[in-house]
Amino acid sequence: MQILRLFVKIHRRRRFLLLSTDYWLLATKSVIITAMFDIFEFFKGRHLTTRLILLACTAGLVAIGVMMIYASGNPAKPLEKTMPLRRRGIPRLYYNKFIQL
Amino acid sequence: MSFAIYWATIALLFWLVLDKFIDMPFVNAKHGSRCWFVIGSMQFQPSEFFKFAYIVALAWHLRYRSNYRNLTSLIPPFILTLFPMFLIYLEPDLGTVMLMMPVLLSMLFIAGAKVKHLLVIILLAAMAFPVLWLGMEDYQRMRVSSVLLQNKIDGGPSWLRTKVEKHPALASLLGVNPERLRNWDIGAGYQLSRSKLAIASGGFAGQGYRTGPFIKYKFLPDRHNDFIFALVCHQWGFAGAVLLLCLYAMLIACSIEIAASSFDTFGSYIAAGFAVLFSIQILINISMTIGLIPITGLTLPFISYGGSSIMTNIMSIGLINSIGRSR
Repeated sequence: MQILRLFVKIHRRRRFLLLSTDYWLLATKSVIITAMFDIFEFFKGRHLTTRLILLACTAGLVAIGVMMIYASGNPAKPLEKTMPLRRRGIPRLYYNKFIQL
Repeated sequence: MSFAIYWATIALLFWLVLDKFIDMPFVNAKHGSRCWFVIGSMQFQPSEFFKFAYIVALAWHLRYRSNYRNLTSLIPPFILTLFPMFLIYLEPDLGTVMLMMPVLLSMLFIAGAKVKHLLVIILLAAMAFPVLWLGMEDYQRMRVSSVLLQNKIDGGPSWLRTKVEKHPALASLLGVNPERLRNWDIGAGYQLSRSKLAIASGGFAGQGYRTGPFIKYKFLPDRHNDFIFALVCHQWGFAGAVLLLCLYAMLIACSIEIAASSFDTFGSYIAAGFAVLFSIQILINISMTIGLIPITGLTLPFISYGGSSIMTNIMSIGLINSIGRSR
């Protein structure tokens, strides 16, 4: 937070620096460093356990989602071998084999 | 700020609806639905961001209006809901439309509205259903009817389907095309029958990750999107589905815990609103996958493919976290 404050202070006093590369480098660094330190703010405050469980559940669900999307393959590219199987009614045969029997 | 986001998303929805009448730039229509904005190679769905904006705006409105004990005070929240609902209905994105009313009623209940008043509103909505039914497109009516007309577990036609096949008047009342009904499995019920097949073939432990005919031969349409729950059941079976539901239950329980113990009423309403939103969305998605309700384009939170959906959900979790942290 300190670095961001410093940056704002410099920005207010030296506006002509806008064209300098160093100015923009400092701007980028100050935002990144502030965001990094803000992550540690997560461990402060109320409901730490509840929030940790909440984040763990979210991470777990997103991980399952990524795995499932990866497994489903590219939806824009149907397999060449799928169409003949569909024409022969393979899902119905599969149904008869695994569900009814 | 809350209302600024709300009105910004409404402006985007309005832009999409205008495309119905005039050819608007940046709009992408897929399967007859104008839900996507396209900027360069990126595309996003404003109705997903609207869910987030709607809950924040509604929470803000409910927080700073003290009395919800009479019917007239319920009019502003309903206007806040019905106007965007109408815009989303025109897109059309029926999944999001179905989602909004339960969220509104739940948030009003939490804000202290009388159950009697809410029941009257639900009754009025139920009475308006025939009007809505007559105003629906044929394909929409067919979607609703196809839930009642699906196959029995042995693959034979249901009782209602045999009646509909015999009586054309009943078929026209239900908005069913008898020609499409004869080939239900490859017609109106194509997605649903494949989805149920994928779930049933998973068994207790599933077919295994990246194995099974529905993965190998891509029998299930929209498997990465609305029907991803069927894919989970197909690969990981009943055990995987229970694990998934446990994760959802814990997520919702944590949100409710934060909502219940927050000192700030505004934050409390937001957390409760998101908990209700997630619950209803999960309920609708899973119900449509197993054939309990009509198929609508609604994603399974955090799991389904879609950048807008996942971004909105993660933003919601971030907001709930922030509410939980603050004193």
